[in-house]
Amino acid sequence: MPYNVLIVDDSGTMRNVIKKVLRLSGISFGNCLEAANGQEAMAVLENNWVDLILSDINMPVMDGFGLLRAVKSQPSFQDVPVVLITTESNEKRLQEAMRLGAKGYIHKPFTPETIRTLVREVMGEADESAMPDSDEGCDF
Amino acid sequence: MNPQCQTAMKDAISKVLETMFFATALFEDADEPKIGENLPYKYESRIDVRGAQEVMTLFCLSSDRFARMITADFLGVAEDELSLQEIADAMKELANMVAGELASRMTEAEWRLNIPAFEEMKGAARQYPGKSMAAIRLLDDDGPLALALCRWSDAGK
Repeated sequence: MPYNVLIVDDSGTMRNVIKKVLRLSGISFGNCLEAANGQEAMAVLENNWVDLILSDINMPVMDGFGLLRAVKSQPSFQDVPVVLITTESNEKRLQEAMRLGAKGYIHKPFTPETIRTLVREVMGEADESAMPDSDEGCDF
Repeated sequence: MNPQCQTAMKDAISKVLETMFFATALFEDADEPKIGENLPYKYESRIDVRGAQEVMTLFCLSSDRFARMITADFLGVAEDELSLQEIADAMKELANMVAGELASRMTEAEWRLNIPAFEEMKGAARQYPGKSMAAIRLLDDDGPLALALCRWSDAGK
Protein backbone atom coordinates (compact mmCIF):
# COMPACT_ATOMS: atom_id res chain seq x y z
CA MET A 1 0.00 0.00 0.00
CA PRO A 2 1.48 3.40 -0.95
CA TYR A 3 2.52 5.72 1.86
CA ASN A 4 1.42 9.31 2.21
CA VAL A 5 4.50 11.34 3.05
CA LEU A 6 4.80 14.87 4.39
CA ILE A 7 7.98 16.69 3.32
CA VAL A 8 8.89 19.66 5.50
CA ASP A 9 11.59 22.06 4.29
CA ASP A 10 11.71 25.83 3.93
CA SER A 11 13.20 25.44 0.46
CA GLY A 12 10.69 24.56 -2.25
CA THR A 13 13.58 23.45 -4.40
CA MET A 14 14.79 21.05 -1.72
CA ARG A 15 11.26 19.66 -1.32
CA ASN A 16 11.24 18.93 -5.05
CA VAL A 17 14.61 17.24 -4.81
CA ILE A 18 13.44 15.05 -1.93
CA LYS A 19 10.36 14.08 -3.95
CA LYS A 20 12.59 13.20 -6.87
CA VAL A 21 14.83 11.10 -4.64
CA LEU A 22 11.81 9.34 -3.13
CA ARG A 23 10.69 8.45 -6.64
CA LEU A 24 14.13 7.13 -7.48
CA SER A 25 14.21 5.12 -4.25
CA GLY A 26 11.63 2.70 -5.65
CA ILE A 27 9.38 2.91 -2.58
CA SER A 28 5.69 3.18 -3.32
CA PHE A 29 4.43 6.60 -2.24
CA GLY A 30 0.89 7.96 -2.56
CA ASN A 31 0.37 11.63 -1.79
CA CYS A 32 3.43 13.78 -1.27
CA LEU A 33 2.30 16.63 0.96
CA GLU A 34 4.49 19.64 1.62
CA ALA A 35 5.08 22.25 4.29
CA ALA A 36 7.65 25.04 4.58
CA ASN A 37 8.14 24.78 8.36
CA GLY A 38 6.95 22.92 11.44
CA GLN A 39 3.95 25.15 11.98
CA GLU A 40 2.68 24.58 8.44
CA ALA A 41 3.35 20.87 8.86
CA MET A 42 1.08 20.71 11.91
CA ALA A 43 -1.70 22.35 9.88
CA VAL A 44 -1.21 19.76 7.11
CA LEU A 45 -1.39 16.96 9.67
CA GLU A 46 -4.70 18.29 10.99
CA ASN A 47 -6.33 17.77 7.60
CA ASN A 48 -4.55 14.80 6.04
CA TRP A 49 -3.61 11.23 6.76
CA VAL A 50 0.18 11.00 6.81
CA ASP A 51 2.22 7.80 7.13
CA LEU A 52 5.67 9.37 7.31
CA ILE A 53 7.17 12.81 7.94
CA LEU A 54 10.52 13.74 6.40
CA SER A 55 11.64 17.04 7.91
CA ASP A 56 14.56 19.40 7.68
CA ILE A 57 15.89 20.62 11.03
CA ASN A 58 17.05 24.11 10.20
CA MET A 59 13.90 26.11 9.31
CA PRO A 60 12.39 29.45 10.32
CA VAL A 61 9.15 29.79 12.35
CA MET A 62 9.23 26.24 13.77
CA ASP A 63 12.30 24.07 13.21
CA GLY A 64 12.52 20.30 12.98
CA PHE A 65 12.94 19.88 16.73
CA GLY A 66 9.86 22.02 17.36
CA LEU A 67 7.90 19.92 14.91
CA LEU A 68 9.11 16.72 16.54
CA ARG A 69 8.00 17.93 19.96
CA ALA A 70 4.64 19.08 18.60
CA VAL A 71 3.96 15.78 16.80
CA LYS A 72 4.93 13.65 19.77
CA SER A 73 2.82 15.73 22.17
CA GLN A 74 -0.42 15.14 20.26
CA PRO A 75 -2.03 11.70 20.70
CA SER A 76 -3.54 11.77 17.20
CA PHE A 77 -0.13 12.21 15.51
CA GLN A 78 2.36 10.76 17.96
CA ASP A 79 2.61 7.44 16.12
CA VAL A 80 3.50 9.06 12.80
CA PRO A 81 7.21 8.33 12.26
CA VAL A 82 9.42 11.39 11.86
CA VAL A 83 12.73 11.21 10.00
CA LEU A 84 14.94 14.28 10.11
CA ILE A 85 17.01 15.36 7.14
CA THR A 86 19.96 17.46 8.16
CA THR A 87 23.39 18.76 7.32
CA GLU A 88 24.30 18.61 11.01
CA SER A 89 26.53 15.80 12.14
CA ASN A 90 26.69 16.81 15.78
CA GLU A 91 26.08 13.63 17.76
CA LYS A 92 24.52 15.42 20.74
CA ARG A 93 21.89 17.09 18.55
CA LEU A 94 21.13 13.89 16.70
CA GLN A 95 20.86 11.92 19.95
CA GLU A 96 18.51 14.61 21.25
CA ALA A 97 16.35 14.12 18.15
CA MET A 98 16.19 10.38 18.78
CA ARG A 99 15.37 10.98 22.45
CA LEU A 100 12.50 13.25 21.40
CA GLY A 101 11.10 10.44 19.30
CA ALA A 102 12.63 10.74 15.81
CA LYS A 103 12.73 7.39 14.02
CA GLY A 104 15.98 8.26 12.31
CA TYR A 105 17.93 10.91 10.49
CA ILE A 106 19.37 11.30 7.03
CA HIS A 107 22.54 13.26 6.62
CA LYS A 108 22.77 15.65 3.66
CA PRO A 109 24.25 15.15 1.10
CA PHE A 110 22.31 11.91 0.62
CA THR A 111 21.78 9.38 -2.12
CA PRO A 112 18.52 7.64 -3.12
CA GLU A 113 19.93 4.46 -1.54
CA THR A 114 20.29 6.20 1.82
CA ILE A 115 16.67 7.32 1.74
CA ARG A 116 15.41 3.94 0.58
CA THR A 117 17.27 2.00 3.26
CA LEU A 118 16.14 4.21 6.11
CA VAL A 119 12.55 4.61 4.96
CA ARG A 120 12.14 0.87 4.48
CA GLU A 121 13.60 0.29 7.93
CA VAL A 122 11.34 2.90 9.52
CA MET A 123 8.25 1.58 7.72
CA GLY A 124 9.12 -2.01 8.63
CA GLU A 125 9.65 -3.21 5.07
CA ALA A 126 12.21 -5.71 3.87
CA ASP A 127 14.77 -4.06 1.59
CA GLU A 128 14.73 -5.57 -1.87
CA SER A 129 17.74 -3.86 -3.30
CA ALA A 130 16.47 -3.30 -6.84
CA MET A 131 16.39 0.38 -7.82
CA PRO A 132 13.67 0.57 -10.45
CA ASP A 133 14.00 3.26 -13.06
CA SER A 134 10.37 4.18 -12.75
CA ASP A 135 8.24 7.29 -12.88
CA GLU A 136 5.69 5.83 -10.50
CA GLY A 137 5.15 7.41 -7.10
CA CYS A 138 4.99 11.04 -6.13
CA ASP A 139 3.45 13.20 -8.77
CA PHE A 140 5.61 16.28 -9.34
CA MET B 1 44.97 30.68 4.95
CA ASN B 2 44.80 27.45 6.89
CA PRO B 3 46.02 24.37 4.92
CA GLN B 4 43.79 22.01 6.91
CA CYS B 5 40.76 24.17 6.13
CA GLN B 6 41.75 24.44 2.44
CA THR B 7 41.89 20.64 2.16
CA ALA B 8 38.71 20.14 4.18
CA MET B 9 36.84 22.63 2.02
CA LYS B 10 37.93 20.95 -1.21
CA ASP B 11 36.82 17.58 0.18
CA ALA B 12 33.50 19.02 1.40
CA ILE B 13 32.75 20.72 -1.94
CA SER B 14 33.68 17.58 -3.89
CA LYS B 15 31.44 15.38 -1.80
CA VAL B 16 28.43 17.70 -2.00
CA LEU B 17 28.79 18.38 -5.73
CA GLU B 18 29.15 14.71 -6.59
CA THR B 19 26.45 13.39 -4.26
CA MET B 20 23.69 15.98 -4.52
CA PHE B 21 24.42 17.99 -7.64
CA PHE B 22 25.87 15.22 -9.84
CA ALA B 23 28.68 17.58 -10.86
CA THR B 24 32.45 17.65 -10.73
CA ALA B 25 34.81 20.59 -11.00
CA LEU B 26 38.48 21.41 -10.97
CA PHE B 27 39.82 23.19 -7.90
CA GLU B 28 42.64 25.62 -7.34
CA ASP B 29 43.83 27.63 -4.38
CA ALA B 30 42.70 31.22 -4.77
CA ASP B 31 43.69 34.59 -3.39
CA GLU B 32 41.26 36.49 -1.23
CA PRO B 33 39.34 38.99 -3.36
CA LYS B 34 40.32 42.60 -2.74
CA ILE B 35 37.60 45.07 -1.83
CA GLY B 36 36.19 46.59 -5.00
CA GLU B 37 37.86 44.01 -7.25
CA ASN B 38 35.71 43.05 -10.21
CA LEU B 39 34.71 39.41 -9.93
CA PRO B 40 33.21 37.13 -12.59
CA TYR B 41 30.44 36.03 -10.23
CA LYS B 42 26.77 36.92 -10.12
CA TYR B 43 25.39 35.31 -6.97
CA GLU B 44 26.49 35.03 -3.36
CA SER B 45 25.17 32.48 -0.89
CA ARG B 46 26.47 32.38 2.66
CA ILE B 47 25.88 30.66 5.95
CA ASP B 48 27.14 31.02 9.51
CA VAL B 49 28.13 27.98 11.51
CA ARG B 50 28.13 28.96 15.17
CA GLY B 51 30.30 27.32 17.79
CA ALA B 52 30.65 28.25 21.45
CA GLN B 53 33.61 30.55 20.84
CA GLU B 54 33.72 31.16 17.11
CA VAL B 55 31.62 31.67 14.04
CA MET B 56 32.67 30.11 10.76
CA THR B 57 31.13 31.82 7.74
CA LEU B 58 31.11 30.19 4.33
CA PHE B 59 30.63 32.39 1.26
CA CYS B 60 29.90 30.78 -2.12
CA LEU B 61 30.28 33.21 -5.02
CA SER B 62 28.89 31.70 -8.22
CA SER B 63 28.87 32.62 -11.86
CA ASP B 64 25.50 32.51 -13.60
CA ARG B 65 26.79 29.58 -15.67
CA PHE B 66 27.73 27.51 -12.61
CA ALA B 67 24.56 28.40 -10.71
CA ARG B 68 22.36 27.37 -13.64
CA MET B 69 24.36 24.22 -14.31
CA ILE B 70 24.15 22.83 -10.81
CA THR B 71 20.57 24.00 -10.17
CA ALA B 72 19.48 22.25 -13.37
CA ASP B 73 21.30 19.07 -12.32
CA PHE B 74 19.85 19.34 -8.81
CA LEU B 75 16.27 19.65 -10.06
CA GLY B 76 16.56 17.62 -13.23
CA VAL B 77 15.25 20.44 -15.44
CA ALA B 78 16.65 22.45 -18.37
CA GLU B 79 18.90 25.40 -17.51
CA ASP B 80 16.79 27.88 -19.47
CA GLU B 81 13.65 26.92 -17.52
CA LEU B 82 15.05 27.92 -14.13
CA SER B 83 13.61 30.73 -12.05
CA LEU B 84 15.74 32.98 -9.85
CA GLN B 85 14.01 31.45 -6.81
CA GLU B 86 15.12 27.97 -7.84
CA ILE B 87 18.68 29.19 -8.34
CA ALA B 88 18.58 30.93 -4.95
CA ASP B 89 17.29 27.80 -3.20
CA ALA B 90 19.92 25.59 -4.83
CA MET B 91 22.74 28.02 -4.01
CA LYS B 92 21.59 28.27 -0.40
CA GLU B 93 21.38 24.50 -0.18
CA LEU B 94 24.88 24.20 -1.64
CA ALA B 95 26.24 26.55 1.04
CA ASN B 96 24.28 24.70 3.72
CA MET B 97 25.61 21.27 2.79
CA VAL B 98 29.20 22.38 2.20
CA ALA B 99 29.22 24.21 5.54
CA GLY B 100 27.87 21.14 7.35
CA GLU B 101 30.47 18.91 5.73
CA LEU B 102 33.24 21.42 6.40
CA ALA B 103 32.31 21.85 10.07
CA SER B 104 32.25 18.09 10.62
CA ARG B 105 35.72 17.83 9.06
CA MET B 106 37.19 20.75 11.02
CA THR B 107 36.06 20.01 14.56
CA GLU B 108 34.19 17.62 16.83
CA ALA B 109 32.87 20.46 18.97
CA GLU B 110 29.20 21.39 18.94
CA TRP B 111 28.12 23.59 16.02
CA ARG B 112 24.83 25.07 14.89
CA LEU B 113 24.12 25.96 11.30
CA ASN B 114 22.21 29.18 10.77
CA ILE B 115 19.72 29.62 7.93
CA PRO B 116 21.58 30.35 4.67
CA ALA B 117 21.19 33.63 2.78
CA PHE B 118 21.40 34.51 -0.91
CA GLU B 119 21.76 37.68 -2.92
CA GLU B 120 22.67 38.84 -6.38
CA MET B 121 26.14 40.39 -6.32
CA LYS B 122 26.80 43.93 -7.43
CA GLY B 123 29.88 42.76 -9.33
CA ALA B 124 32.69 44.04 -7.11
CA ALA B 125 34.11 42.24 -4.09
CA ARG B 126 32.95 43.54 -0.75
CA GLN B 127 34.64 43.31 2.60
CA TYR B 128 34.24 39.88 4.10
CA PRO B 129 34.28 39.78 7.90
CA GLY B 130 36.63 37.73 10.06
CA LYS B 131 39.91 35.95 9.51
CA SER B 132 40.48 34.20 6.20
CA MET B 133 40.80 30.42 6.57
CA ALA B 134 40.34 29.11 3.04
CA ALA B 135 39.73 30.31 -0.50
CA ILE B 136 39.05 27.81 -3.27
CA ARG B 137 38.24 28.55 -6.89
CA LEU B 138 36.21 26.12 -8.96
CA LEU B 139 36.79 26.20 -12.69
CA ASP B 140 36.43 24.29 -15.90
CA ASP B 141 37.94 24.61 -19.38
CA ASP B 142 35.80 27.69 -20.06
CA GLY B 143 36.99 29.63 -17.01
CA PRO B 144 36.09 30.30 -13.38
CA LEU B 145 32.83 28.86 -12.07
CA ALA B 146 32.75 29.79 -8.41
CA LEU B 147 34.76 30.96 -5.44
CA ALA B 148 34.30 29.52 -1.95
CA LEU B 149 35.59 31.51 1.01
CA CYS B 150 35.74 30.40 4.63
CA ARG B 151 36.24 32.95 7.37
CA TRP B 152 36.30 32.73 11.14
CA SER B 153 35.44 35.33 13.73
CA ASP B 154 34.75 35.43 17.46
CA ALA B 155 31.21 34.45 18.45
CA GLY B 156 29.03 37.44 19.15
CA LYS B 157 31.20 39.89 17.20
